[in-house]
Amino acid sequence: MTTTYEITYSTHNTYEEDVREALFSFLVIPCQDETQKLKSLRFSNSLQLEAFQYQNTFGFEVAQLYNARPFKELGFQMIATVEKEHRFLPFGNYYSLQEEQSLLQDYNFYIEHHLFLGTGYYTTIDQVYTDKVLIRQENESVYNYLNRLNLYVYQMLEFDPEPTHVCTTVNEVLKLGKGVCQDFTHLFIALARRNKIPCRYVSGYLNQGLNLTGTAVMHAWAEAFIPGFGWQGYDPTNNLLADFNYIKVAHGCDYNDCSPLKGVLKTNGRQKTTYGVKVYPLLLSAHTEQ
Amino acid sequence: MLSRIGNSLFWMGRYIERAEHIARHARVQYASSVDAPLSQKREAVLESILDMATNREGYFNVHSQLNEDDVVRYTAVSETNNFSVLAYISMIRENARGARDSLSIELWEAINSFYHKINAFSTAGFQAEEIEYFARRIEQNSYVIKGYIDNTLLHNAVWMLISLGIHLERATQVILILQTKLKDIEKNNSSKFEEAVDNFQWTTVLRSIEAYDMFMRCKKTTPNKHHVLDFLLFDTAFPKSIAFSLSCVKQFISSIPFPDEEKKKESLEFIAGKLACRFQYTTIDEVEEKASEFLKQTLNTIYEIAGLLDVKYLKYH
Amino acid sequence: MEAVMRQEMSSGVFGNYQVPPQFLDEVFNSAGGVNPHYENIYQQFVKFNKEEFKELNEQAKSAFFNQGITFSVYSDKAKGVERIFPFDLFPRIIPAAEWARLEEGIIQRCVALNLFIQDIYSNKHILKDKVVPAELIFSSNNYLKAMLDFKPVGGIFTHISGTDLIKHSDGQYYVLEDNLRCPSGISYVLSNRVAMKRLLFPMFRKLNISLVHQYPQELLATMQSVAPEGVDVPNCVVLTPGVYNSAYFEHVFLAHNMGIPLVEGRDLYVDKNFVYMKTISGPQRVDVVYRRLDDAFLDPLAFKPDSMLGVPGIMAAYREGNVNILNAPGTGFADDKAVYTYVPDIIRYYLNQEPILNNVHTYRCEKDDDFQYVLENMDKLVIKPVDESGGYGILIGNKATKAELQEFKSLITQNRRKYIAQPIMALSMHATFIEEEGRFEPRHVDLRTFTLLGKDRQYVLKGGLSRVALRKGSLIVNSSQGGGSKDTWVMTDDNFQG
Repeated sequence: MTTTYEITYSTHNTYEEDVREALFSFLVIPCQDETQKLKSLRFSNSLQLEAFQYQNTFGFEVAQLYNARPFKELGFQMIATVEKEHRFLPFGNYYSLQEEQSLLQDYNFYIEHHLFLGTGYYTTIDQVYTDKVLIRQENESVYNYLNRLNLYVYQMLEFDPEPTHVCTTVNEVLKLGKGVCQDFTHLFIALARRNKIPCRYVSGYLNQGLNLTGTAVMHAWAEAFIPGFGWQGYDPTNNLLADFNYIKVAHGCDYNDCSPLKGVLKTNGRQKTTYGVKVYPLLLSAHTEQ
Repeated sequence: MLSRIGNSLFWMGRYIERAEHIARHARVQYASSVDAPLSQKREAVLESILDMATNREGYFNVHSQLNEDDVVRYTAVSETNNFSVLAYISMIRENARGARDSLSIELWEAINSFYHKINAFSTAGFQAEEIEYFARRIEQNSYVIKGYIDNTLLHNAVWMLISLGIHLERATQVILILQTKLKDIEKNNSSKFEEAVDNFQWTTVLRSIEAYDMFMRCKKTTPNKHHVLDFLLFDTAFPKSIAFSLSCVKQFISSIPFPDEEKKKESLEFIAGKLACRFQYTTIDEVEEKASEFLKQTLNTIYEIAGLLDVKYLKYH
Repeated sequence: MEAVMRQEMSSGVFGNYQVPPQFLDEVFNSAGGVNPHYENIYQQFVKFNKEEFKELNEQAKSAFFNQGITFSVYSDKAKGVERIFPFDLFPRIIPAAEWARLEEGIIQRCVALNLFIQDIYSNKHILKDKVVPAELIFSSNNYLKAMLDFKPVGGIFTHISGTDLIKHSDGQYYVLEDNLRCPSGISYVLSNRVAMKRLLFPMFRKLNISLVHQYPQELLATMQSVAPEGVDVPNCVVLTPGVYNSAYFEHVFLAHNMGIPLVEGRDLYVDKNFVYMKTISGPQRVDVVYRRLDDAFLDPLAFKPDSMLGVPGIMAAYREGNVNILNAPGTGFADDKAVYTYVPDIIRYYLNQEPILNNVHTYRCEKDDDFQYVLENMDKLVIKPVDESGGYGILIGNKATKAELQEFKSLITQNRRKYIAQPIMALSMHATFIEEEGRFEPRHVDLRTFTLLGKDRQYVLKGGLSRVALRKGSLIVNSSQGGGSKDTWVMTDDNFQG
């Protein structure tokens, strides 16, 4: 069974002074994997620039715009339709506890997954927060642990967009006890990696028909590696497992690998950026136009 | 050639010419205030020095009233003025340094040593009288540098871009001098009919452009508005006339290997060519009455050309 | 008669030359005799009296100053100060046979390191086979995920390497350091040679000295060999951080001698994944970039976002295969001083050969045994941070004060991964003209060599930069820390009769 979504990403940027030269990078295109197919993709922008794409280190398509004529405003929009397959979610463990652990302790496994096992700027937990690190019980499977972790982060943090920003680290989040999906995700990742479970940051879109937190903008969740099963998405912001309602754009080590918009601009004054997303399942009756 | 290098060469040329004209104009005006006929007011001279260098506003931001020493110091060497002659000399060197690889050793050394000499000049107690000595240094060195430009460089795109800057700026400066003078005369309405004053004013203009003797040789008559404008606007043999400079501008623009443009009418070559031609085929009688307006239009077109050059070919940031 | 002779001897430039007893002297043997390959040149130099030589030395200095062969020195206080790199007229001579072996060893080492980098950014076999510890690589700041699973044209990452060698008192060469990022100094080698030819022309007639002037052409050919696929006549450029960079002279020098543009980041831009240069004749495509800019500054989109020196989007164009960058980004983990220890194993692993060049034994503070040894023997060791260059942050145990030793002890303890230690190597010494003394004295020297790897081509410059520690007793040869340089003559044959 599949669901088809229409996804609109739009952003509007205004600048106090002329921008003399600019390169924008958008990591917003839904990716293609075993559960997702990109059916159509359209870009438009207010400067009539021709968008071009490249594949980043993790194999995700990035759209770019270059402009060398002075401008003060840029509107950009992407409309994509994505077919998402309904897959079984994991339940229970696939390997014995011993098998699981011997895989996670394996040196070659570590080398293959090192990017998602090491910690960096966002995900290194200070010693003072050691008591907040959720440790896997000795007889606990990875599957059970991850479910417990999802709930743990969900309960520990209060959703609040006010106090955090794009540069907030797990330590600040632990101190505040609040944050947005990005912060929930970083904390989940940091803790999973502490337990030697490979875990990666995912950005994408969330079905807006479900009344969940984090649907108005691009959403973030984590993917953790379950031995015997593979990668599974966890959304600690909503205490859910990522299913067909989650449309993935990209993954990486942390936010820095997934930030939807990056730009290098030559301008002097201040700037203002607004953006929004629309994610709707196209129902069978969707073609009844009004 | 990199646009950044092109930009440096072009502006080096412009600043060389600009520094020279501002310095000379200040020197000649200041001297004229000393031996002026009675009606020649000192204040008017000082204002005219500020106006020609488009420094009036900046000056009054730092000084409350017109004062001889202040005006001359501000125009020539003041550190509070980003558009002083001294500041332009620094910019000449900065631009030369940016394009050093394209210059001859001799040219670079001439610019560099000129910069160091002028900077050694004491700016602290700069008196108005010193403008005579100061400006002469600037003028002489400007000719030395231009001599190296013409005689030690290959006459390729490098040389053409510098020369384009020089001639574009020369036309601009001559127009600014004429505009300033026309404004002075207008203000001085009472003396309008005194021939001696009129003669004196136009003689000063010629001297500000180092054009007096060539004017006399050509026109063999007392300088007046009609003849001076005719000479400085339209004499195609005099290298400081606007007609001469604009014809150089046109020639350089068509010889520098800029890429071809799609629309002929908006192209740089077209605009520069049209302007140059206008000066070839216009007589003084057609424009004398509306001289101010004509100069203003011309200056706007020159600014348009400079703007297009910058946006289309010399931009790098 | 005898009195006059002695007078001449002590007034000559070699007056009172003391052959250092505990070090190897390149020119003289321990009995005070001249080594055979120096015989010819010694005979020329010994004829100079102090005044003549001083004058010659002044000529050389002013020649360098007028050519603007200067570098800027950074310190905490002032901005850059321009200085000339002190240059010594007495060349270092390497016999042909000795060089042949060195060259073989240098190539072997550079090829192996290049394979190592390629492996690390792809299959990581060497890590899986536990020859090099994975943590060592993954913890390096210079290991870039932006390079993962990417193979540059021809599989070449380190197109330009600078291998630093010393000669120990046992007469053997040892590698001190591999420089795989942006090794500098080649402009001094070439300028030194020009100056030497001008001042000491007759000597060049008598000796068969390998040429060095073709280096720029070799570098250009290397660049062209690794142009993106399908580009027949590649547009090559040198990318400089700008006039305020300490090595700007070298950037100008190389661009000039290769006849290619010297560009700054702001001269380039990326559109549709291609790199263009802004010229007065419109955009011009750029295919190969020899960048003299650190990885972190190369692309604000991929690395340091506030870098104004780089080219936004160039990494994307690079990964798409539309431009090549020399050296490849992310080679720095391999010249890390902690990885240095493993280079002999790396050579054996990839080439199945025994290393030709010796490595200096290195203690890694992150290893418990080594750490303990270092703490107990600090006075016998040189202690270096693994990720700094230019001779900064180094402690030389037998020269350090008690306070310095104490300070380093706490530094190392705080960050064990950051420090390595090596026995204090007895760098060989070489007769060097000391201006204040007006005569030759022995000073420590090392040798930076320059290697180029292109697609199906390898080249080692027959010569190099012999760097001299001008301060008496000093072992630090870096230009920023009071070092000077010598021309290095590699003989084309070892027939010393002349």
